[in-house]
Amino acid sequence: MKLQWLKTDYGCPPSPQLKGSPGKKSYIEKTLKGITSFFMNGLFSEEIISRGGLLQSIDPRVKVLTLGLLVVAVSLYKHLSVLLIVYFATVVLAYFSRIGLRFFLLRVWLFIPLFSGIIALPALLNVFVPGEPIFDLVTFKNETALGPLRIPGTISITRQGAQSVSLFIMRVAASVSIVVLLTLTTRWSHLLKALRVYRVPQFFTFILGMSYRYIHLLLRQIEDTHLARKSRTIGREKGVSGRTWTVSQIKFVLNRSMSTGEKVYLAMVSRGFTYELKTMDNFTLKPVDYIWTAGSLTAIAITLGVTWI
Amino acid sequence: MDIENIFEIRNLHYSFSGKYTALSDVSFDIRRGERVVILGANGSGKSSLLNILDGLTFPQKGEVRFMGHTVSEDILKDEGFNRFFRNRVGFVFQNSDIQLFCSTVWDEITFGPLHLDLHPDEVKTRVLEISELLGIVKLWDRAPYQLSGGEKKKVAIASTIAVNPDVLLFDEPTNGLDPRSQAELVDFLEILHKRGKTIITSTHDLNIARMISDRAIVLNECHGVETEGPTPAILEDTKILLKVNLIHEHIHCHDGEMHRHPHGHLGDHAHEHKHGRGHRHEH
Amino acid sequence: MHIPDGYLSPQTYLPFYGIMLPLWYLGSRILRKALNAKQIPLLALSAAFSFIIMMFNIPVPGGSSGHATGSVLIAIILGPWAALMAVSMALIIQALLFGDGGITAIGANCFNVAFVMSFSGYYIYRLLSFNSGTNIPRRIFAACVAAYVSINLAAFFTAVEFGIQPYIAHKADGTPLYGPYSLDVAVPIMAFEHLAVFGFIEALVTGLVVAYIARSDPSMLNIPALSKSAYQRSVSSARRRLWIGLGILILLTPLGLIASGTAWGEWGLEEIMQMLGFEPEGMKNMSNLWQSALPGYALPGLNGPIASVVGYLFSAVVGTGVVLLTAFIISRFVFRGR
Ligand SMILES: Nc1ncnc2c1ncn2[C@@H]1O[C@H](COP(=O)(O)OP(=O)(O)O)[C@@H](O)[C@H]1O
Ligand SMILES: [Mg+2]
Repeated sequence: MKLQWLKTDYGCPPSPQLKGSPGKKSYIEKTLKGITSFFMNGLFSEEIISRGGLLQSIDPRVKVLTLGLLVVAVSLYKHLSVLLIVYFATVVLAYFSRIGLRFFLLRVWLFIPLFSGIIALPALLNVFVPGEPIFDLVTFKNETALGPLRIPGTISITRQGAQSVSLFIMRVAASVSIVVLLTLTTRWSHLLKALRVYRVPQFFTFILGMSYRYIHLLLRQIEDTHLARKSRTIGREKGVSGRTWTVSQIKFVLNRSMSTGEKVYLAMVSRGFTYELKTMDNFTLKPVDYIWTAGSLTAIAITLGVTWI
Repeated sequence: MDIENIFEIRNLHYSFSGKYTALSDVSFDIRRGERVVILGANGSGKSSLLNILDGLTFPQKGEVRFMGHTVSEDILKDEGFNRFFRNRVGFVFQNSDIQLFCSTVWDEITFGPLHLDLHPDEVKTRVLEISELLGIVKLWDRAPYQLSGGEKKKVAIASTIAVNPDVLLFDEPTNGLDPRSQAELVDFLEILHKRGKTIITSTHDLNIARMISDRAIVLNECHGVETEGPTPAILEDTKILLKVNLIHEHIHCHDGEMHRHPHGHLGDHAHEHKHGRGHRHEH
Repeated sequence: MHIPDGYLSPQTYLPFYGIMLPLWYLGSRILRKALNAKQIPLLALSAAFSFIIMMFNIPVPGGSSGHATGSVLIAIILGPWAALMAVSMALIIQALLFGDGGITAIGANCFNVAFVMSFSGYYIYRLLSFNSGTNIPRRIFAACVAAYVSINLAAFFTAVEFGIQPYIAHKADGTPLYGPYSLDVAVPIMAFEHLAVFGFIEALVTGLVVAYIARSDPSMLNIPALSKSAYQRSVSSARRRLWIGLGILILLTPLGLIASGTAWGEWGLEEIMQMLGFEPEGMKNMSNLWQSALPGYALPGLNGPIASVVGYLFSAVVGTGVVLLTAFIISRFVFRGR
């Protein structure tokens, strides 16, 4: 009989041996982790929206307007104290919107502006921001130059540097917190509809919505092909095959996105689309929306007044 | 011209970029209120045919007449005719991910009626009623990528029906659905039939074909019409079904002994073997 | 290269909105003419493609990795206007969705990555692949150079936007209010990162995908079919214009340098600042800094304006040579890799 090899022998599993340090991720894993976190992001905010806290109950149009103005206001403040107050306010809002504080703080401080913090620290020194020294670190014999940089005789932390770094970091943290609050408590589709109320053309909001929808589809397909590949490969991927994988995935996405675009066009035409986009919303304002608007606009006005008067 | 005929298809030829033939000399008529199934194996040209019937792609040769008018790229550029045609013909695509392109289910279902200039109040009524019928009201705020396969199909159907077309094209609607959703779909098609809709469905599932159609048009693997006739008669004709690969000669191997018999998706199918013991095969 | 909120002052980010709004409007008009109703799904899917490209990590020597932006690639496939729109949409989704901010900086980010990069990349590609017909290596080479040069151009703009903050927005005692680094820090660091790392990533991705398209779907890369004589005519007129343009550039460069009497780095910054009406403290030291920042721009042993002109031209030639050589090597590498 043929097919001699087609026999069943379950054997026993080898004891697993972990290769390499677990902290060192290949860049494919990094990409896949990015894809997973994209989906997790969506799931998280879906879950937070369903918890129904303060910000969740506010009309998206109102939220976009007030939080948008607040981001602009944050870009105008000149005092560290005001920035600290606004930042603290975002934490309070997060609390009342039933966003876990740990999650919220980590999200803002650990993941997102990590690089802003690292970038900012050298600016403490008079090497980068000249000013009055408040703490001397090192003293050299004479001034030197390092490429474009003039290294002064004494390297010290300056008052201007310290102020500048704290202003910078708090400004970034406050802005990021506001945007995180907005995105965690608002559905993407509602966000787009709200933008439309503020005269952002339908053309843009519709494309943004459709684009996000197909990012999901394409990323799912990448995930599926990776899983299929992973189930077929034995051992770790090597550098070359990894590069091939990445480029083949980019090609795949290119082909898929172009052909999907053509087909979606037909699906739109089939349901009567010719040229102009039309949509219908069902938003209604509640008392809480008016209270929120009045309160937040007053707060923005006061803080800006403190800054500019 | 016969006014009873909704579609008159004559000698269609269609190929992709002039090289890959998808349809070759296809002709048939569809009558008002009829339930027709287009049977064919994978790649026989079913989707290409439905795309042409919906006025989305156009044949290189041959003619499609809809209620007496020749459907062409040019005539569909006329706003009046385009509206007339899109209001009357609805298409549920094979791939729901292509069909559901909006950000939410609500936008999706309202898309068709709004673009065909229905009054907003009428749109709301329709969306509510069709959603209740299909049990998808609770999905209104969801995004398409948050739906299961069965839910996607229901939303796709709702978004097509909301336009209230007279002729409905379904491209392999039961593909990938679990048995319960399939049964629901069959019931729903029955409702549409009772309301006088003309229903054209493509499938390779013979079991479903029996339940949703009175007449069958069979496409062969050369992309032409093999035969057409009443569905029950076609489903009896093993020879033709074998020829167009809708059933296959299953080759069994029992400890060295081989035998053949035709084999398809005609429900629970069992057979006895001549060498005793009589074991059953289920598929 | 994605600038978050808080890095730029309002007097910087607002003008970029001012530039981008008309560009977006123009883009939607132009695409509507070219693609009609089809533009909506095609742009949406192109934006999705752009967004996803930015998610792919590409290894760089030394064990780390970075990502490409794909602007030049999309510009080559779909044209600069479609790339402008698609990449802008991808950046907006990132800013609004991931919450890593950049709401106020959307204008500036789109200007750098979607506008500067797409347009410069597209025209560099057109220039270098010009008349290449079926010469596919030339096209890949052109794509690599275009990607490399234009991402560096975009990085330069980003660095300048970031680096002018201490001059234009500071307290009375000199405390910078926004990004704390001045041009003499921001520009060299961004330039180094992009010349040494991200430029190659962008060139690699662009080159590999163009190589793939050239084989699988060459019509995607072709300029719309022209009749033979029309094609000849457009080719010869384009060639004439190219030479005239280059000639003018060659003539003007040393003239401009002699007129100002200084090297590029100096007049660039100071004059721009004076034109904008800023007289920041410490600007006097800047010229010294720049002298040491770009030592390659003055040849040792020579003095005066002639020296700086010669030095500048020399550096320019060397710089261009290096870019072309790296692009060549990458394009070879692309071929070997397949
Ligand atoms: N985009 C395409 N390019 C080239 N050939 C295609 C394309 N789409 C389908 N075909 C070919 O056309 C034929 C008919 O396809 P299709 O209508 O999708 O069949 P079915 O729906 O019956 O499975 C098949 O042979 C298929 O390979
Ligand atoms: Mg099909």
